[in-house]
Amino acid sequence: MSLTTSWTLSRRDFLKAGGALVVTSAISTSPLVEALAAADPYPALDPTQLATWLAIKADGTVIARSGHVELGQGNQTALAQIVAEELDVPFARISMVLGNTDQTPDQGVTAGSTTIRLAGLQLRQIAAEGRAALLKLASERLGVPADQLQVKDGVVSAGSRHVSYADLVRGKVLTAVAPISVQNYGGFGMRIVGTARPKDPSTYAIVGKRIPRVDVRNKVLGKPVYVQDVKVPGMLHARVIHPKGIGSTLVSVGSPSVPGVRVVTRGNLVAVLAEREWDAIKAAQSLPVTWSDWNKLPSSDAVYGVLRTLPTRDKVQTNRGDPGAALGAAAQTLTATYQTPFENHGMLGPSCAVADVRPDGSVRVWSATQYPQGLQRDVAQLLGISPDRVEVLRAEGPGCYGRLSANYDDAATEAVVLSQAVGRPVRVQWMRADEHIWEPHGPGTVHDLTAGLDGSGNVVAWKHEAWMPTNSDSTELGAALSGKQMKGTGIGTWTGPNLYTFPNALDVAHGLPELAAADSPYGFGLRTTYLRSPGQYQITFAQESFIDEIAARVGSDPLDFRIRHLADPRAIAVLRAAAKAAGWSSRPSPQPGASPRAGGRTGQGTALVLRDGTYAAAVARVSVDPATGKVSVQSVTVAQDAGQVINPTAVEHQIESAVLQTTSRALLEEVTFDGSNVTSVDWSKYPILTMADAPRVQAVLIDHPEIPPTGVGEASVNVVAPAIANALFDATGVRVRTLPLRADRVKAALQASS
Amino acid sequence: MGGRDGRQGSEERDLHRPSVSRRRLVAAGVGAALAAGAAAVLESCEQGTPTGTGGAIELTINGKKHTIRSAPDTPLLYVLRDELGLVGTRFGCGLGQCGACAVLIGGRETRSCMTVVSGIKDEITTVEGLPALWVQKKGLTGAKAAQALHPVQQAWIEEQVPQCGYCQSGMMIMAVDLLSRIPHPTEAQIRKAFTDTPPSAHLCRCGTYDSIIRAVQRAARSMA
Repeated sequence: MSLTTSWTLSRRDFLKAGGALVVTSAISTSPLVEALAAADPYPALDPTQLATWLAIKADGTVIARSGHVELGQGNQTALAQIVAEELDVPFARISMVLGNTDQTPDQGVTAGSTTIRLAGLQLRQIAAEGRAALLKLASERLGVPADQLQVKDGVVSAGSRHVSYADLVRGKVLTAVAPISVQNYGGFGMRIVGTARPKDPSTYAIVGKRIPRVDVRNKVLGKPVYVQDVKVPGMLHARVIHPKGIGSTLVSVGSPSVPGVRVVTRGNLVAVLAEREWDAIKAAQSLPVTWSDWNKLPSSDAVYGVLRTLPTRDKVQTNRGDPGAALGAAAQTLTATYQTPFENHGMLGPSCAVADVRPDGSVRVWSATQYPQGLQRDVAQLLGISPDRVEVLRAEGPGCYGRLSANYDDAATEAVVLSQAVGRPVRVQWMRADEHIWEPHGPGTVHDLTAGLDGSGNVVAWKHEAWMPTNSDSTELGAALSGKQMKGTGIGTWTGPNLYTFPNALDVAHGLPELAAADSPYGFGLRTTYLRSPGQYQITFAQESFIDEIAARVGSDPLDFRIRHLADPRAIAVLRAAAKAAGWSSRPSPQPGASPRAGGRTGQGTALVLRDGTYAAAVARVSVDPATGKVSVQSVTVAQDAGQVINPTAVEHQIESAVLQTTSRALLEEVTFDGSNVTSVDWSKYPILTMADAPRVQAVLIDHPEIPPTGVGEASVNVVAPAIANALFDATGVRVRTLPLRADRVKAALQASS
Repeated sequence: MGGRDGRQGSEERDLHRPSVSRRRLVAAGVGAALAAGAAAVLESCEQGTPTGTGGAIELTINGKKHTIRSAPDTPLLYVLRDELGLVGTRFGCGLGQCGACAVLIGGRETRSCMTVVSGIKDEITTVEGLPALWVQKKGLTGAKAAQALHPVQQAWIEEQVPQCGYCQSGMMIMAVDLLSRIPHPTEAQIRKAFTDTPPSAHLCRCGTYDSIIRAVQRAARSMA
């Protein structure tokens, strides 16, 4: 016990004292204090207390706490910039604490490009409140009205008299002098309402600067950073043997062939546990397990047809004018069908988590989840205990792109069940095939588009129907396999406004259940969950391809055609910026002399999106080898307007990330499955982009310091695939409407058009 | 976070390591790198107790001799991570398909997930050993040696290469191998090395290939 001196403890103490505004220096910790803390269940973090969010140490370090987590996008650095800016404290003195259920307030799931636009703006208001409270203290100390005080580097001054933030709070337990109100605590709708005014963006010295990311060095040095690196004393290594088919149930389990390995079954959750990891791996590979046959899944070859037959829950996204009548009266109509495949998030390291279910029933979980509080609630429900008995400690993980955003961590829930079974901490590490087969994939979709044109080639009617299985499977495998039914698989989603000014327009999503979920004993089928820009990615591919088809039909430059049908100046600006940076040639597509047989031509293609407030436009340059059908993406230029830029370097890297990952999705990626389960079981069956084929990326940032920041993780993801498909059309005159633009598919399309 | 679990004794102390370590990390200015409790337990894994039935295998890793207690059929990856606490070498696939587990053996990039520990004769360098490799090569001493990073690591920091970072240990190992063979590689040579070196391409899922190319070029300049 004597080793425990932690901020957690001092913070608890302050909370018990009535909610301090700012926590001060080292509190000496005695066994008595510790015992008191243990006896008193830790109160839920109170978001209306500034002390829940901010602490100032005696050395001037500022601790800021956020429920959001680092996913490798640099949000930890960006959040620290926001806090440093509002408090007028040097960046290096900010220490962020992220995603830990005992220490950080619930700011909702880190997904949907929300860290800056939601959690960051909440922290900005919090920091502004903190600054106001500190200035009030300083005003009393210095005898000068608060509005005559200056702050620089955490020191408040009035003329020649100074006092630091640290000295203002030293030795004191302060009560909140600027109470905040929190609406809709915990979700995307949460708002912090206070009286302090954040700074004028024109005075910013830290926000908007290229501050190096604080998480990079440890990653480069090979330090323990990831949940895979967590090792708890007494921990057993587990490997889970997942069912043969998605809906297969356990028939029998034999004995392990590796000495000292223990087999644990709970319902249909089968695992081997060993002191040594390699023993667990060998035992898992050789354990005789018999599963029931299950063949209710349509094969991936037939899936697009099946999607149209499933029960739907429709959502009308856009309904303007009278599209039916306008289509009937149109001089000519165009129709096209687009298809996008089931895809993997493809975490480079398979799922991993450690759980420790203690004899007293309390639980500690180490996880790379995107939502610690969500996982806390799931684990509590799984075990039938109160959430405050569950502590989730979040470590970083391999990039997950939404994989841990709805079902918060399959491996963690499996580890919880196994730890409870054996009474020791358990580390569950999935193998590569577990991840490729059992991750909740991005859903495949089908899109029917129709346009009506008048005699002058103007679009008078637009219709887009999309069939899309759910994006929100939230089942936790550990729960489902061990026999606990909780949470659901949801129904399809549709996202994104229609930016174009067509007078008559209808966008309808046919939301679908998960494939074969109704035929599975577990309540889930082919699991599908949010994958980076879910729904919008597929919608934009269809929409922006079809826009190009219309432009080609009327013989218009595809860029000019878009601009002619837009009213939003920010949308027009990103298109123009991308075109200018990429050296766009203004002319109709396909280019003169384009032919399905001619190699060596470089096509240009563009696309546009508005995603949750962020505008992005791309220009891709693409060539194709007609002999093999291989598409080479030479470069992709993206212009993006996400309002206020917090850290230009981080934003550029997010664009680079979006372009490369989406080039991979567009050219190569498709989850395959037979009637029983996924057959694309590893990287050889599910190839992704390699460095040899990576396009050069050019990022153009349009900064609007005066506009509140929006997300940068997702918007540019959407424009890459349609820009590539449009460039392929520009080079060849051949339109490929099904992703991925794999060599065999493109070759067949070129030959069919020759 | 301590007393809530109600445990006593040595395990209790270990469970409390998080707080202590986190404080140290914060003091060092990198506290933000990890969620609180996780940081510390991560650190504690370097003190993990090795178990096993071996004992006859001797390896030189990052300039230091180790007697290995893992079973002789264990892939090097698990010896590094579980027995020696060198977790900078990451598990990605176990199939030689991704490169996350790459180390240098005898100076050549090698996949540790596919390399059985009993068959290794040459010296092993992991990402943790890259600074010492450079120090030795340049004959650095004193404070310079203590603070040195390998130029590849320095370039990775300056180009802000990592996103999630999970593949980057293997990427840097590949870069060190490449630069030892071709001190000034062209962009095409870089792309080829990271793609065509058997048994597989080095995969990055976040999309950092462009940054890696820039970082390799930067490292090449600084090593000249």
